[in-house]
Amino acid sequence: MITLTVNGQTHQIDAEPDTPLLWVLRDFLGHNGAKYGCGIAYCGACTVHVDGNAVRSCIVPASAAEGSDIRTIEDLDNHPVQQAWIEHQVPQCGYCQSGMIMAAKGLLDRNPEPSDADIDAAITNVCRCGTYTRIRTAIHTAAATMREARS
Amino acid sequence: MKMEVSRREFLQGSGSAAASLVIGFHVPLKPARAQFGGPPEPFVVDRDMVNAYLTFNSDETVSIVSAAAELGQGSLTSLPMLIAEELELALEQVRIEQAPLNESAFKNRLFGYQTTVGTSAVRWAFDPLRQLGANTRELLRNAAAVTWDIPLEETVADRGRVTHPASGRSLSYFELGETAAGMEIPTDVPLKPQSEWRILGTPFPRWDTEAKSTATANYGIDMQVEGMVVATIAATPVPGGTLRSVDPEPALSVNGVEEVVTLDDAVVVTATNYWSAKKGLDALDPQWDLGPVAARNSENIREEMLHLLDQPGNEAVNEGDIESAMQEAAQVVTATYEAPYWAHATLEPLNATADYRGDSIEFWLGTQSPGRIQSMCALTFPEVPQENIIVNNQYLGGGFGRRGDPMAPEQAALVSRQVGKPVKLIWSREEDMTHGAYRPKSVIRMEGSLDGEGRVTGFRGRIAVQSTLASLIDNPDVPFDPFATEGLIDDDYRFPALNFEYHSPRPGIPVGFYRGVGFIHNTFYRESFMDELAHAAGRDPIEFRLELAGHRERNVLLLNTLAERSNWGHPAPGNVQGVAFAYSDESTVGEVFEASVSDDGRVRLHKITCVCDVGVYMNPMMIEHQMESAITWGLTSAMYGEILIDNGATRQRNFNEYELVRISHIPEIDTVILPPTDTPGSGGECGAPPAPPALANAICAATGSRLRSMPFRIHGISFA
Ligand code: FES
Ligand code: FES
Repeated sequence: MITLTVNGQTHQIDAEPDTPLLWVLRDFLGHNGAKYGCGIAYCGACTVHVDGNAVRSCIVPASAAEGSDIRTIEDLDNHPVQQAWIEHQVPQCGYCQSGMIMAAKGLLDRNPEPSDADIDAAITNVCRCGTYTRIRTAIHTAAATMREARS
Repeated sequence: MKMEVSRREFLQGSGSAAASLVIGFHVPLKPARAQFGGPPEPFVVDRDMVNAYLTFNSDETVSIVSAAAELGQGSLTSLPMLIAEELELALEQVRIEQAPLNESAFKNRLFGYQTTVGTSAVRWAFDPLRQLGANTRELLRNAAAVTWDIPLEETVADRGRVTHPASGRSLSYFELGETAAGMEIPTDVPLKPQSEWRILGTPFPRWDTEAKSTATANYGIDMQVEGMVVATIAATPVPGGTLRSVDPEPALSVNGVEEVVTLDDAVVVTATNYWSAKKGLDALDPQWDLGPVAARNSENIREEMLHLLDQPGNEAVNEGDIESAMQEAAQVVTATYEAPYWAHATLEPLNATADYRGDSIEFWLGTQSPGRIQSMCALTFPEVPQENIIVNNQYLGGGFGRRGDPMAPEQAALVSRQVGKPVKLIWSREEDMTHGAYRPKSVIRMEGSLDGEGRVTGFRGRIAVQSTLASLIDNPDVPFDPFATEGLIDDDYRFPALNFEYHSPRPGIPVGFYRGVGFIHNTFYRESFMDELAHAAGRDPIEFRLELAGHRERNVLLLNTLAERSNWGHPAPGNVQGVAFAYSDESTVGEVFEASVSDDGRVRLHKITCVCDVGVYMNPMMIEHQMESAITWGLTSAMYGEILIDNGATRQRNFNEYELVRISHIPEIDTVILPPTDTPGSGGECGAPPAPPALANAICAATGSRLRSMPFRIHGISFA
């Protein structure tokens, strides 16, 4: 049994302790927002937040996340990053975008006013559809919205 | 156009989704590629086909069935725009529904299946959907005129209602439905001129954006079906191989594993969850009979292709007197180029959920070709009547030509038959990459002749490339391959003499459609080689191209716009520029890459200027997105893409061995769309082919060395 706290709810899960967090979220909890792309921490489609950090859930054993605060895209409710994604019409096939949004939120939580270079350094997720220039613009828009909300 | 209104279809229910009026209509389709080089018989599409339906709803929305799978290109948004424009709807009144599988109604006759080929769905639908909207609008106006007993001219259709301004009366399309159903549908209704468009031609948001930004879009891999098991698969590592034996025990001792299932050419583990299935599969040691393709590797495939270049091949084009052009030339330039196999690497690996029920099979997956699944499964499962094979299409995590393959759903159904439960089969990334239908490897030799003034007098070449067409129609003996030379012999450039031949070797490696198809490597060849010729002639590369492309005014406009917008010839200090220009898929695109290159081959892109001529377009914002997307696609292919074959098996297994371009590599992309014409082009693919040569030409401008093979990584080029 593994005990995980996901989006504020605690679950007892009958999964093998080495099961990656990604597959616990998807196959045991029905949270399908985090996607499987590579399973080797390359693509970032599986990005979720663990204790406030954006992590690639495909290589985090679920047992290692016990006691942590796990947040998935399902936890976001019209977040400024999502608003910006819609405003700039970022998604194409959309498969990478949950991970992108969580990675972008992770960046903005740490750095409220990222430069292009900061974005380039922080967003290492891949998008096979090539939505990169929109992602960059949307992150700047989300950053501005979040700063306004704060002030 | 033939339309039928069936009174039977009226449902007087009060629910908001109640169907009111269903009109079947026929859509004439053109071949996917205009440039078929060989005998056209089985492939020309010359008859109307039904591929969509309209339903008027009581809540004043209109449902439109789209036969095109949403690949990410935005066709779900564009298609209703066509109807909405003529039907005088506000766009938010339009609902799109995926086509149900109906072979006769939806099949694309080029390949005989319901399929979304390339990005042609919108182009094919351009006139028919507008006509449908126009004729239906007139029908509804007629119905109102009859109801109110007034002349037709006094009615106005707007926002899903017909009104009579003089009296202030107004009825919704839904309310007019019953009257309309008993009336003749007007034909030959003139379409609105572009100048009167209110929706088309303006930037309009896609309506799948919200679902895709909030993780509510359901992809095939997200399917949950009552009672299902999750499965993963290892198929023969070598195409054509078969499973000899496997000891299931090691998998069965993994917690969560249910069964080990063997197929002729694969072993599958089913479990309560993916991770258990994967662990179980990894614990197995299947033994294979690999078959003859195991003798093939990248080196001997390449040697066979190079050898073919010394022998006459199938003639694709022979215009003018090429021999004299070469003999009388002041200069002849010769070069050999090549490109490797490329993997689609869709970010969502292939997967399918199947429920085999003995007399029926139901599928859930994202597919570009539901019809191909149906016809393939009808062969594999003769006990199941074809009409009982149901395909529920889901969002696709990338198509790019890969998701027309019926293999994964067929495997899922075979497993479901054996285990007696619904099965969600997920290919691991490793399975996906090693079992692709790759863009075929090719090698080419080109010769260009120049006269004393540096003008091209002749262009000829011979290419060896596996036939994509043969693999697509499952017929290795198809006698011609239009994809072999597309991008080399199109009419965007005119040469006094032009001669191309091709060979179709058959090394046994599976190949398939890949975004850009033949154009993407052939444009790299042609546009790199044109740069070589321009250099040999001592001429400016854009001015040189203007001469070749100048027979079309639009080409001149495009190249001049490109030169101006990119500040051609005046890069920022320390930067270089490279240009490429190409027709593909009914559209023309020119790109200038401005880059800097360090001494150790590290490339930084500073700006990409893209000028495209996509004819008339529905949504300029979507065209911009598609150009950005396609350029990124071209860059990944050019820099990194390389599938190598060892003893018949694919060497690269995951993204760490098959890199993808990232955000840090992509600079500002400035896209200019030429003013619309009146025929639609296609935005989805045409941005990709110029990207590899524009980059190669920029690198050559910086380093002086000509990159004659992809990926550029193997030449020591990397992104800074
Ligand atoms: S699936 Fe986790 S990084 Fe790719
Ligand atoms: S939108 Fe398709 S992978 Fe990013």
